[in-house]
Amino acid sequence: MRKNRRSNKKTDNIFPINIDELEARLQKEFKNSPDLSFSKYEHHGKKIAVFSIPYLVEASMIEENLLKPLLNKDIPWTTQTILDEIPLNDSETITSFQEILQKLIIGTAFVYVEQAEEVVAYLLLNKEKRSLDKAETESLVLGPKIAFTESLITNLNIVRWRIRSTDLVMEELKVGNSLPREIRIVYMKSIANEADINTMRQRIQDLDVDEIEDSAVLQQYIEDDSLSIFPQFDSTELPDRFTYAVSQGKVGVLVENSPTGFIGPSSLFSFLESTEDLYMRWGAGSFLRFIRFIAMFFSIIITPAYVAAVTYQFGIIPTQLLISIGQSRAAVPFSPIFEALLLEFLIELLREAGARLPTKVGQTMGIVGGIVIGQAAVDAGLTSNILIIFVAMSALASFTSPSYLLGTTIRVVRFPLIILAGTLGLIGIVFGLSLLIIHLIRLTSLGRPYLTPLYPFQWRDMDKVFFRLPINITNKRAKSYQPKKLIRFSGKEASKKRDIDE
Amino acid sequence: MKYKQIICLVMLSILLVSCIPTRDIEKLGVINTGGVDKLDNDLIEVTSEIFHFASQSNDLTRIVSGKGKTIKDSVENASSKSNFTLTAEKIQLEIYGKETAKKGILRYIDTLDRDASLPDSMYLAISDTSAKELLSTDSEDISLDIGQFLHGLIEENSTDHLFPRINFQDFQSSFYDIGKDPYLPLFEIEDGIPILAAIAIMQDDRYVGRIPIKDKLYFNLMKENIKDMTMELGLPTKPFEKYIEKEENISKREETLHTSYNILKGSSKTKLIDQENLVFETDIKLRLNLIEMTEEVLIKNEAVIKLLEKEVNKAVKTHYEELLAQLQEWNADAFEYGSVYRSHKDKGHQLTRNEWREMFPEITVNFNVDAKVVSHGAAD
Repeated sequence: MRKNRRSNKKTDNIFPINIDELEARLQKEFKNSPDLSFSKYEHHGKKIAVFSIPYLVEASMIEENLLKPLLNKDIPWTTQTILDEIPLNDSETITSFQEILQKLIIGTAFVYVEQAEEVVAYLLLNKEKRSLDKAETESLVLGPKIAFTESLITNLNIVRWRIRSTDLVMEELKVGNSLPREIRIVYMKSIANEADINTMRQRIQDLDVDEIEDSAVLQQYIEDDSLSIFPQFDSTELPDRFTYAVSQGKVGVLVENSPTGFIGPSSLFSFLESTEDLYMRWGAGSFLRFIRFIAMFFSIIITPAYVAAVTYQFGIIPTQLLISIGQSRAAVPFSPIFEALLLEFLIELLREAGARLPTKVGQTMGIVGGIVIGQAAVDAGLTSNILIIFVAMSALASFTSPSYLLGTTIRVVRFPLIILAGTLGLIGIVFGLSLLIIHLIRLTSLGRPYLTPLYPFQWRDMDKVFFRLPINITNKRAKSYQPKKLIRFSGKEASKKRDIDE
Repeated sequence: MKYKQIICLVMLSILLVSCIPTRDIEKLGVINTGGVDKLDNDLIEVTSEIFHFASQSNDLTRIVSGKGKTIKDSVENASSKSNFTLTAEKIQLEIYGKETAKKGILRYIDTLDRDASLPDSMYLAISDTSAKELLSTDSEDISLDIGQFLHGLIEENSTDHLFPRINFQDFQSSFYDIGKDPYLPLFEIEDGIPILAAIAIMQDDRYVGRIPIKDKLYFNLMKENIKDMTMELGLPTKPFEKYIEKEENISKREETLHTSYNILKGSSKTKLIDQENLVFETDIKLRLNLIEMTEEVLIKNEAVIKLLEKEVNKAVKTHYEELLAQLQEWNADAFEYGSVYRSHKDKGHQLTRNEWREMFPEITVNFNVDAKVVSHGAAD
């Protein structure tokens, strides 16, 4: 790139030039789009041109700080006097026509005095962005509610304010050949493992793609196994979740124009962690996390187990339940597997429709779907009412995942399992689960095992993943990720009591 | 190429296994309770209560029966008479008629052992009438179906996993261990309602006699440590005469003082004292909580408690001696003295079933009962 630019400088230096000629050349480049504003002024007998793309620059700044002094001051303007007298910083002089074009589209205003050697450029970027909002997809009860926005500058600002340390590094990378986009790798230089940083940097740098549409797409480009249905990076729109992971030695990535950042390396269990566990007291935090683990397992297993039990191994159903299942099954003309697939499909429809619809309509959808359709399906003899409960339970359970990506994965995994259960019974479920476990054991995230700390087993990390301990005991970072500094604070000091009367 | 091969293999493995026959529950008749009766001409009749699920009918259960040479044969026979495939995977209780049980039930147990699909946790019981008669009891007083009702009777009358909750595994271990004889619960029909009436004492697999159900405590105590059970004892009134409150008792005094206790803790331990003369010693330890007395005995001091304990000891000991005498008469070792004897015997010689049958009526047991009344309530 740099080399290119230098050669350009030589070839397309068109200055000095007539103002009308400059206008003609620029207009030629912006053919068919009336975006360029090119104004010409006479001052002290000299022609001066001011040009920019109006919606990319801050109009008031041009008005107040550029045009006013330019037209009101009673001095003959040259390139040097403009640089000296105009009260704007971020100024530079440019001679290459190509560079002018490039700068124009990122929000630069130019001033040109006729027959001068150079153009003066002012970066007066006006980027439209929405204001900071509450998190939509990852809602919390406790803790900060703020979410990332599409503006990278804003996101960097938030992250910087959350980690006010010179240790924080935000490396800049550019990805995309035709439509380059700015990407930041965020990590703590004294904590994060060097290998992780290098892997992340190298994977992003090595990308040879046209453009990156979003951080989710970047994730898919650089993940370890693109065939897997499991997400391998923890993506989040919550700055507190992002910075917590970064402060624990993980590597974060922010992408321009994307409201989600992602964090690596991740394990399967990190998708089930929520920062809320941290804000709760440790007992409640552990309980909620435990609930989530159970819920995930439950969500995967409950409908296939119903299908297997009702089709083949009814012996595992307790007698009382067998009676009620049998009675409700008797009215259903379909085989259990078809019945289950039908109902699961219905729930997925409701869920997808609910996500697409505007919020207000979406709520009504939920009620209509849940109560009316469910009850009607039973009355019509399409499904048994026991299955409705199981399917609803498993849908509910899959919503407990703090990560939307993992929740979706679990929704998808259920279907092959139902089919296996319907064809092979409990053996099919065991077969499916075994395949799943084999796959998970082989999976890596940034080259680190996906099932850590369960496999490879790391006893000291259990309290970070499966439960929480009182805060004065958890004085270490996760050993599985080999941070440069393992100890966060002295455990001995932390357990000392320092009351005033001592 | 490699992927193609793998896909082919996966497809083949799916296609070649073909379809596993499905067993949708709505097409099955799920046997809940089975009853076995022996008929005259070497045939057996199996009566089963089944659950069947049909949308049109409100009746959930039905009694079906079939005849055949073996249990499976009879079930097959019954199956051909109904529009459901009968399956016994959820069988909870198997009942044998008394007359059938007198001839031995081992041949009927065999299939329970051999067929892996049958649950081992099913309970076994004996019916005073024929099993068919018991299962056909149709009373409005039973809100549940008969199978669930009988199963419930057993469950409700037992704490932990003690008698009358005798499952197939328990029965088998008592049967095959030398020096033990099994015992099963016995059902009777009283006023059209089945009740749990007695303990059926078995000699090997044959029914030999019955002992009233209220003595189940004594059997359980011999087998395991017990707690939180109620014990009723009739003590002679005479020794307590002077402690009974005079003024309040106007009515004529009864001969026996009936008392009830809650057993807080009970345990037993049996030792072989004299191998030659077959003398055993059984220590019974009871921690009791007095909860009822038919006379107003004033428990003012330790002496009264001591007296009470002495009487309890005597009563329990006597009862045990009576029970043992009865068992010896039937030659059925339900108290498992044989296994104590066997564990003390020289290693070289294995005790055989017949040897113990000859020895058991000869044994003498010293029962040492140590009952302590820990609390007696606040009746002033």
